Amino acid sequence: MNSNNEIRTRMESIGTYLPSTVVTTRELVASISSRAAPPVEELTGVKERRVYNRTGADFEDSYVLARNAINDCLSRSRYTPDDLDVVISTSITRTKNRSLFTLEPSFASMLARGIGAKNAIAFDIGNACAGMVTGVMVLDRLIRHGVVRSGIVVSGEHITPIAETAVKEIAEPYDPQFASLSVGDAGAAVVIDRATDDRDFIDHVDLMTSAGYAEFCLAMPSDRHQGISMYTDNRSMHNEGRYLQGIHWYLDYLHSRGTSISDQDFDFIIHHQFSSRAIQYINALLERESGVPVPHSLTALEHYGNTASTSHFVTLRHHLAEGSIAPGSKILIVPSASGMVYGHMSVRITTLKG
Amino acid sequence: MATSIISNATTTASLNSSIKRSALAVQECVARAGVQAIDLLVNTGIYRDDNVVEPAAAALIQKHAGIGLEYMRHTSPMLSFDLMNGPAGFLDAVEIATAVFGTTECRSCVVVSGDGHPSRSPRPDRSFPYLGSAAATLLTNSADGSGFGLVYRVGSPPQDPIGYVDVATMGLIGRTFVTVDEPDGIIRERGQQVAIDVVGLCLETEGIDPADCVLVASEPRTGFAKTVAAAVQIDQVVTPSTNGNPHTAALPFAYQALLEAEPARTEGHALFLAADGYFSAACADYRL
Repeated sequence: MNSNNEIRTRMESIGTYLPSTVVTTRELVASISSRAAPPVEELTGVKERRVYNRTGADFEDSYVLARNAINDCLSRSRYTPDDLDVVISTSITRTKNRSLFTLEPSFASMLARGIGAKNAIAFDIGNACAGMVTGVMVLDRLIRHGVVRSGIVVSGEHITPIAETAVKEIAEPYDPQFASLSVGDAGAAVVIDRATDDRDFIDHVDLMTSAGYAEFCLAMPSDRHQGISMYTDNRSMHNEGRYLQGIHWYLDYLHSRGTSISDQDFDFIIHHQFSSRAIQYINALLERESGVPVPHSLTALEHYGNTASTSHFVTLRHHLAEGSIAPGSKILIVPSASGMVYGHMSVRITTLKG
Repeated sequence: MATSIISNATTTASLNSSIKRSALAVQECVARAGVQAIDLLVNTGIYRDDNVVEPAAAALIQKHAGIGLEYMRHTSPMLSFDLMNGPAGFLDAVEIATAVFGTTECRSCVVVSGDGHPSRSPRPDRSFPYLGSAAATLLTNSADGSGFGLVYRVGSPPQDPIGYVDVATMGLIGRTFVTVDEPDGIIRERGQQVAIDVVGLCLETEGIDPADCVLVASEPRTGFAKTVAAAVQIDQVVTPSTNGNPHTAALPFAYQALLEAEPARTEGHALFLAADGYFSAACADYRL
């Protein structure tokens, strides 16, 4: 609880799973059949990414990635699967049994059954690359309202098949499937429960959708090759006007609560990991609009690429494990996703282990 | 404070698009309520145009409904996202809306439900078991005591997918193809019992007299809801008055049937029963 005796939540534990197979951007670009290979590493900063194991019984689909992330998360948690009140799956990709892109039952219910979370409510949340933060927001509200006491938000992104499609179909240096070349596979999971003190807590988490831009990025089965493909209108989606939507809302959000970004005293900022150039640009815009220096920006995209809905939590876990986040740090997590979805999540982290 | 329904709209118009159909339901629902803004949109539909996996269908529905298109400074923004859990997704969304109302300044949530074959055809292949339909239900928090109570759940989901696209065999028709495996035999019997159990659990825990209830229920197969009602001694049952199963929109369609049968009813309990007919069921009391 905080000083007003209101229930607050915290990130009790975090876990990730990254496939062991590494594919460099140079290797990926070299496999593009067209001569029009785009400068992916130069434009995105992605040097390499992890790619699912595709051999026999060790095949890594979304379910396997998610389940391995849950196991990693619960290995550092005081909770067992039996203790969890809720399992929320937020994957964009929902492959199980290698190739079945699942629509029903909910992916969360299969994961809950798989890990033995017999008492858990289970449902899926879909909100593109903002899915995990949206899941955390929903769980935060359910805990604060007293509906449940704890739960896990999980995502397994078996997303590099869109890069496989792009490699076959890209024809122009500026191609709608360009962004597909920056993705990487990963699983991430986070247990949320009631905060017990001021050392670890979620200060605020909120999102919004500016639906006028909903069709700038669409993913669906390809009609040219067997596989899933993603088409992005990068020029419409990634420009100052779009980025200012989220920045202005956050500044207004803080203002309406009688505070400002300088009062927040953040140590770090973690953006969605889609492009190092874009992240630098967004940080410059945030600094210009707020008049306050932007906190140190943590990234992991150079190692793992854009891991879709898991990207903030893969980055956080990476830097916790590296020891680059001091206990007591305050972090601003900034989701950005197709839809277009914008948001902000402020967390204090002291005992969370990576 | 409880979460209550202030407007409900249903449609089976084809429009050759599940997204546009859902947007139409949202527009009608909002117009009936006479509200100017929506804080939250939760889409519980599963099967959608072209098997689109990104963005959230909720964002596409919001766009086609023409609401919350962009953030205007110093105004209240709108959020939308998908929540997928079969027919029970509607009650999950009600539970989430209640929690959001109770912890934030959000005061209006529209729950969108309904499915469509990915081919967009009003007459898809016969193996697709669900009716192309859409519903929108506007929720707010009420102080008059009416509204939803706790959500009860019983059942266990299958270990393997029953609705899916096999990306290894779909060829070039992945945008227009989906497989839905409908279990039979003992799984159907278990699904019936699960639904009976969850209604019984709700009645007993809430201390509700079955004589004061109307069962507002999904009807995954003919006679399903009546069998449940008979087992728990509820005399009155309403189900979707549709020629086919509206699946994730079953509860709003059943509620619409109740409104049309008894528009002036303001007493007693409506027990909302969401059942997939096979594996799981959820139930919540709605105090009229």
